[in-house]
Amino acid sequence: MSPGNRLAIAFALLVPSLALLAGCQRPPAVAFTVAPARAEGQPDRLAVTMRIQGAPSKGLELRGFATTGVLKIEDISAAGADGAPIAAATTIENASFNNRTLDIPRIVLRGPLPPTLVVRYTVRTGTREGDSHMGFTGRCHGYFGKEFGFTVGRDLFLLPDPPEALRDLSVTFDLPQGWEARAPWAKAGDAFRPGVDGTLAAEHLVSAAVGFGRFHERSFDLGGTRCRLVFEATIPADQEERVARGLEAAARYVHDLFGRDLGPEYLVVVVPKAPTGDEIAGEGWGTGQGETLAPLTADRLHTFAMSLIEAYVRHAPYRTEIARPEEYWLVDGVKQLYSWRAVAAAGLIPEEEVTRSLAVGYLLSIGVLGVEPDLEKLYSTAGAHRIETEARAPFVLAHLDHELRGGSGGKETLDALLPTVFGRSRAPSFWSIVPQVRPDFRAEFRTRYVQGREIIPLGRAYTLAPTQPQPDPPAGPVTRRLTLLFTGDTQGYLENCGCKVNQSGGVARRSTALAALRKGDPQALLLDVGSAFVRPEKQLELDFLTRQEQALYLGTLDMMRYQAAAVGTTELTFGLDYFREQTRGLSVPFLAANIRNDGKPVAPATLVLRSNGVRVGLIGVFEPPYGKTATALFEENTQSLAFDDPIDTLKRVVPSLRTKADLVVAIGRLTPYTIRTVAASVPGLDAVISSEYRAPAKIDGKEEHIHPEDQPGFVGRMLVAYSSLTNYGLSSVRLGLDAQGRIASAEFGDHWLYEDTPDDPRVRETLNRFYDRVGRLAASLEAVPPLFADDPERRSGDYVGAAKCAECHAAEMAQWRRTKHASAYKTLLDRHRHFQPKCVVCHVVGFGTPHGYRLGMPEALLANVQCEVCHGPGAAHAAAPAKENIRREVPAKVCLECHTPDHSDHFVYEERLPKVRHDYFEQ
Amino acid sequence: MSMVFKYSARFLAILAVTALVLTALVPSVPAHNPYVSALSSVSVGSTYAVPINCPNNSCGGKKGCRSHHGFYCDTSSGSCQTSKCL
Repeated sequence: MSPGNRLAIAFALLVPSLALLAGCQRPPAVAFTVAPARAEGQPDRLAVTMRIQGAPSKGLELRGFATTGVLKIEDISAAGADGAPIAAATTIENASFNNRTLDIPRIVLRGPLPPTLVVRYTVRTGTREGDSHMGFTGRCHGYFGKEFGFTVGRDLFLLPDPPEALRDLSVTFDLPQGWEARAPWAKAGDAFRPGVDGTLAAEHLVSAAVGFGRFHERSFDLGGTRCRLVFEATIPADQEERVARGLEAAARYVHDLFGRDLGPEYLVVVVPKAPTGDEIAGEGWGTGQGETLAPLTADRLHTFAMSLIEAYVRHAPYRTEIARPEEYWLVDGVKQLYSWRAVAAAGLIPEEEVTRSLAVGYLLSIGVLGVEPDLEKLYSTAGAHRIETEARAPFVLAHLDHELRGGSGGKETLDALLPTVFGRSRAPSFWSIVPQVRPDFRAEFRTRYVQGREIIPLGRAYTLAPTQPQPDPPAGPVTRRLTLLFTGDTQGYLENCGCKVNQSGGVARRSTALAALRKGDPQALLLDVGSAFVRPEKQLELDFLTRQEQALYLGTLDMMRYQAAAVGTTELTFGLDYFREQTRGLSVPFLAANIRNDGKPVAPATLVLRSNGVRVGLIGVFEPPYGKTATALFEENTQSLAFDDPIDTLKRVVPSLRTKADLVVAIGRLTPYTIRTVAASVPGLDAVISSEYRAPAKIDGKEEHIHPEDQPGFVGRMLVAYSSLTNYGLSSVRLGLDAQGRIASAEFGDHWLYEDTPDDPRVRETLNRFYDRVGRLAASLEAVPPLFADDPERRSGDYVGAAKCAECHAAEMAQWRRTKHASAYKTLLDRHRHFQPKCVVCHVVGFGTPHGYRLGMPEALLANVQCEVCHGPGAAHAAAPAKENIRREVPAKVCLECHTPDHSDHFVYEERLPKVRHDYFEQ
Repeated sequence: MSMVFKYSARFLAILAVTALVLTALVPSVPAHNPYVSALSSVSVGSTYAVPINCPNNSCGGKKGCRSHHGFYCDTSSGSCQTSKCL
């Protein structure tokens, strides 16, 4: 080839190469400065300054990495280096996630731009999850206050798009005197430099947990990884010690499991709850994590362990990547199974509880509509797969572990496979390394249980022996009869709200049913076996109205002549002081034999009652919930309490009670597993009535007949009963006793409180008087915030009422009158809830707003779900009718404000909308 | 100059063929995988993935509703059917 030709070829290659390079401009560098906003009345705001160098002249878009509900950007401005302002337009990017639309903020800076830009904005931290109407979940996103601050990168930072190309990011903090920032980024001088080995800078920035304030630091080595725990300084020393021990134990378990290190450092930012009482949500990545971890609870340690495991199996840069899509489910299974096992390794829950709890979860998922049975398809089928990833995948792995151990005499385990699978950056085929503990084991297991062709045979390994209809050994002939009536897990349920399909339950109906049962045996004993206090699911601190309702509920226990109650989970969820405050002055005694505070029992241990000449000795006993069944609120509020082992307690208390009673009955919370142990080890105990009934149990001894709930009956000679109707009914057991006082027979009864059970007029009147009196109190009204928290116009606007609308919209008015919205207030009147603010808010216009409906005002004006609930306040429109000053479109979220599953369990927006559309009856 | 165009054309043709071959040979990446970047919108969603307005109950057969996280008992079809919340 001649030199001329070579030159021509080189030129030919150079031209397209230069053309390609021309389109690949060097990404901009961004230096962030974060400081408190320091504006009056904005203590929860952080001010962010972005200095962008190398901005493209044609324009730049900045994108957020959290939804607009969390990343609340305010006061954004942009300027060139010389201070010349640049227009910054805020837009919303819609992204889809599991059939939901996510609104993600995006800021557009239109060109031509100077090469250096300064963008400033403030961020409001601390968004609470949930809403004021339905209740908050108890989590918040970030916090910044006078004590400390915490956020994650995605709740704070915007980045130039595309963020993946960014290499040069730095973050500097300008904090109050004595404060420092802790983040999992390398530090160079005063600035943090996100990124790992020069890559992943943006991902590192966005996923980081960042603490502000004063911190203590502890550290330990996990092989070659230095694990640094930084504790916010207000965490008490004893809490810090306990958290440190728990985190280290769990971290060592996980490290040993995978048999390899992460990076040089792993930073854990430990903060307490926000002063509002919310758990502060965090995030984890390959270099660290942070969230509310103090005081330590099983739930919080589980979150920590999951995040740490994700550093090995999911997150860049230290993950092991599974190449085969059909094996992706392993990521979820390993994370879920071993995070709970890590909690057990740290001693916060019993090891066997992990498998039991997963077995129950698996059993409950069988037959559920929408659950994908084939784990290998989880990542190729649309939709959310929480049940599959959190319940099915980990239990399939637990069962694989069980089979490996069983098939090899304990030589082979799933644990032993993990270092091979997750030891390098690329995982080998999982099934190629699973030992063939019997011929065709791998293929069979995969087809049957992973691909979901068969249900895991729970009957063989995970179920309880069924209870029996008769005691074994049998007692003598029946000489006396005794009836026990009992409820449990009623959770302060006064009565149904009147708007759901399942309308069973309620104290007024219960009182009627009790009267009927007492006619059969006037000396029947009435017991509550625990969790009679209100369900705390959505409230961290009970509002005034809920407290009043709680007190009323407990008062009705006295009205119904309850003779004993056990201290259960919800009694303690808001702390011992609250329990004592609520039970002060009650006639019904609460029993607790194994709960102590400062060494003293929190309630009497035992009580002897008489019925039909039989002395019945009752013992209150409580087995605390673990893991998924325990709320963080319960765990935290019971940290000062000591729960003695319930079996040891029964062994100690039963013999002495036996001397005073003919029949000894334990009431409270005992799991079916513990009950089996009690039956074998506490011979003097005649019966257990428990509020906890969940366990995979054989119904009739057949392996294929498995039920997720234990059944009442006998375990040996001991009778077992459960309050499984919860707030929907009450249960009974009619006992036959032999001459020696042993239980010879038992007839169990379930008594549902459906609408065919009339209200007891006396209790009904008490409830009505309560609504009339308490509902109108200012404190009760304050406890129920107005609807549409995010819509200032609806919350402050001027409502005119449907009659005014009808002056121009007669046809629409006529159509509206035929809808259920037009009689919504009558529903309240029929059920005497027209003074119950929790109900009224969804049956009138603008309740709780300055110009909206008020209790007792004339019904015609703003009662019922009128025009302005859907279309917004109409005063301006009525004064000067125009399309622009009224809302014609009604988005789903307006309807879903009230039509929630809790209150409107049949509601499907798409199906119901046509029934209220103004053109519906014209079609 | 005809050589220049000739080699440029060949170079571009090779580029195009290589791109096509790579597209055909590289296995198709599934729509979803567990290794989403913290920068993706999926991460944004999963970070806040709390079931919204989920009643957290399941149909308990003859025994009515049961507390059951992540599920709801749907009775709209006339019979009870436990479904999972999104």
